[in-house]
Amino acid sequence: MVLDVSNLSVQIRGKAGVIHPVDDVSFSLRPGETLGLVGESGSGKSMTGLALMRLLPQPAARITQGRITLAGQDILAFSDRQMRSVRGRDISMILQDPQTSLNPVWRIGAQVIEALRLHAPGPSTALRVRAVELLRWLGIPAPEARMRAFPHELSGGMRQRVVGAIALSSAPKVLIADEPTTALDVTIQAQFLRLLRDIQAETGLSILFITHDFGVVARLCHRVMVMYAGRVVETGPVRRIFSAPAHPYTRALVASVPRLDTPEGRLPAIPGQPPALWSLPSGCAFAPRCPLADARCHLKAPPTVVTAPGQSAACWRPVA
Amino acid sequence: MASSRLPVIPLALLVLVLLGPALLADLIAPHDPYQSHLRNRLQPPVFAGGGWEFILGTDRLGRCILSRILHGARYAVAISAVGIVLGAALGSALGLLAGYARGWTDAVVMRLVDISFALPSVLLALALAVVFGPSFSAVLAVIVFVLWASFARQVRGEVLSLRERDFVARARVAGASHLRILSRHILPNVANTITVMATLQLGVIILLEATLSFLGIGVPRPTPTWGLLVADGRQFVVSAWWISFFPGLAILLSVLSINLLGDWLRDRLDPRLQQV
Amino acid sequence: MTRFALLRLVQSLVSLFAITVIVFGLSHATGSPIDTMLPDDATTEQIAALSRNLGLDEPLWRQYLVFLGNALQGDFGMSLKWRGQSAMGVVLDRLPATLRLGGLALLISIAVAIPAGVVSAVRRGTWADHLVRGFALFGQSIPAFWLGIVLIWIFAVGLGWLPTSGHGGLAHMILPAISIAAFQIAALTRLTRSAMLEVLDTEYVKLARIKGASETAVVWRHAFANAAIVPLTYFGVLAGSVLTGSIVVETVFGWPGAGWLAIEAIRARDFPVIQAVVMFFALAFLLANVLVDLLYAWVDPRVRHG
Repeated sequence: MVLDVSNLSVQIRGKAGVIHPVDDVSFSLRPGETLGLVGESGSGKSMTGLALMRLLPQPAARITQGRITLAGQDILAFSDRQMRSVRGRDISMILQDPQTSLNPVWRIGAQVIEALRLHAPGPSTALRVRAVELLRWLGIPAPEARMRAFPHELSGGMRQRVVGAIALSSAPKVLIADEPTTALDVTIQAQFLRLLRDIQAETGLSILFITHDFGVVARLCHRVMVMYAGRVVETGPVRRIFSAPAHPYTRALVASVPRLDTPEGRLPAIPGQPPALWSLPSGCAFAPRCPLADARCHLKAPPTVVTAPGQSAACWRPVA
Repeated sequence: MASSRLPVIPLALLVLVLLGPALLADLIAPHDPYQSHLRNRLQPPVFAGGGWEFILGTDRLGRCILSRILHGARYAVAISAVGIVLGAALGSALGLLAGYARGWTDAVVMRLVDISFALPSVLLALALAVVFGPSFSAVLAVIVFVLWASFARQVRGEVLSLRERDFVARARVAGASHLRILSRHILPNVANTITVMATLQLGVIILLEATLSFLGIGVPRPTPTWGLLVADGRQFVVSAWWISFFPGLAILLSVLSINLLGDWLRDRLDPRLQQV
Repeated sequence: MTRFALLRLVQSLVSLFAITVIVFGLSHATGSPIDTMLPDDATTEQIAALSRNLGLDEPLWRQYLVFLGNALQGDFGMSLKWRGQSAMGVVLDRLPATLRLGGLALLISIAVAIPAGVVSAVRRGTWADHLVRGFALFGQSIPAFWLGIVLIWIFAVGLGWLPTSGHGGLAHMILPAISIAAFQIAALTRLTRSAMLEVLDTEYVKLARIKGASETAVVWRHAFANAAIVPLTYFGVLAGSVLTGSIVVETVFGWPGAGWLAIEAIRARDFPVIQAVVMFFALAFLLANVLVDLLYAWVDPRVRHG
């Protein structure tokens, strides 16, 4: 395992009181594997990503329990300085919006070179050559010319490739991709996903791919983890998740993916709203919206049970 | 960080230092502010060895400093209130006009805004004072001149974006007149901005008025404006610090409480508004 | 870039032109200067002759053109108070003192406000933030002339550390410069703080942290490089307010600069000098603003290319 997370919880103190956007989350990531982290907005998937980088919004949020083991090291025990040397080198991240992820007053070249220099200092000329190579590797045409460009002079797709170049500049073992294609249009999205897959094949990178889009999951991921209201409700191989989802929430999500064979493209939406994190129900958080819920579901939080080899769900009444 | 609670301390301070004295100066002032007590010249305040008769001491003519400060609040309130209303009204009207009409009107108004920002207000006040002599209306003219441009610029900016919004287009399609669109649809949407700006500018205006009267180009003597009271004590920094100190403290506390209220009001009504 | 610069330049020239009209108008509203120039028992012939001589019998627009032509050459006539000197000469004599004092005040404002604003934003909600914001609130509420008097009372009269007033070296400049700077520090601190708060919340600052950049690099090189644009746009206003502040504070401290000169000229009704001072201050203010616009375009690549 390159990354192992166990019982991770994040707490945020806000005006409405204390909430747990990430609650007792455990998973692991194998080398060369892509794990899809799926959920609606507010399910805690982005917070999980930030917690892994130890970049939660300060001072409101903090990790209250759990263990994060990255390449055999317990990074929650690291000092800030140690953590900085891990960021970018061992674990890296691509953010959602390429429009705003690049520093508007820095040239592209300077931003890439800074990332290179932080983990492998060297003479500027050598760094420059490596930066150009990196941009070319990420499929950016005419990289020498792009080095001198400012972010606003590039298209959204190109910008996201630059962000990718920065994130991958020090050959990290784990890449967290937080909805990296949501802001891109469909063809650019497909190109970027293909690029990620190629890079993974070449380097054995492990990817935690955060998304709400099951279509993207199907194309890219090996395994899927579904989050609801801060908890993991189901984990399993991508085929099983699509063909035999065990948790009623996963089933509803999979059923709402637009398919060519659904007549008139009508999406069976899930009735109701996700619960507010400051007033979670006492039992299963999905129970109020669940078609199968019974009295027990409303009273007591369900245990996580193995439903098939490699597949588990937190549910009292998993669909076997 | 908008707190919804009413800011009690600034409000209390405002009432205590500014509004209360302005309304009740005649009732609460222990002495006539113009009355000299020649036998009690340069009396120190009570806590610095003076007597209870003149709590904050007396000036070089033996006039009661506390009474003069209490009466001075009146002029601070009257001048800044009238000035703010006139300046905000003129500036907002021109801003509405410029933002709504655009084109040449806009260009001309914005150029006037630039010009008025480029003229240092105190210098203009000096020039006006020379031309017309120090007077209440000259001070008002300067205040209006200082204020109108920032109101015009802010309101114009908001109107420019408001006029592109759906409800304005709908009103226009429905055949509403320009006057109606401006007064019924656009003005209510900039009213909050105008209110917040007026509060935030109030402190600036009290400071400006005090500065002008300190320089002897504000409301003429013997009116006991706060700036004048500070100026009166300038030669006595060594021997009678209290003459300058307490009127200045009154200015500081008034402006402080107004600024606190302004910040609170902005957070509640118009958090996007940037204050400088 | 060049088009933008040209546009701003033309706009400033229009403003400057309008200011000359105002200054000219003011000098006319004061009445004829002849009364002050001739003895009381002057004959009508003498008055008419001087009028002709000064061009006062010409139509108003003609007089304005003459005024404008002279003003462009820096000629505002002879001072009435300082006999034998040109108004321009009097102003130029006093200008260096004001520039020195104003420059120091500006320096203090920037040196205090930028770090204070940045720290306050980075340590948002801590005691440091509350302290900075409290000070800023005070700075924005304190009358400069009173602050000057209180500073004299404490540091010159009470402690005897610094001279009370007058012209001299750095020791003479410290108290007046602080009096001028107080308000500007407050305004600039608040501005820097809010600009930094906005920038610290952006994705590119997050990306800088993801790279593993140190906190200093994140705050200054990434965040401040962007946030600096906001205080920079305020710099024009800042320079103008420092000039205005110098009028009041120079008077309090008896600092022989252009600001005190303006007050003296007003008291003596020395209109040529007043005109020259007003034109000078307005010009300085406009120049500062044009400079800021150009600097702004240079710093922010989006404006430069836009």
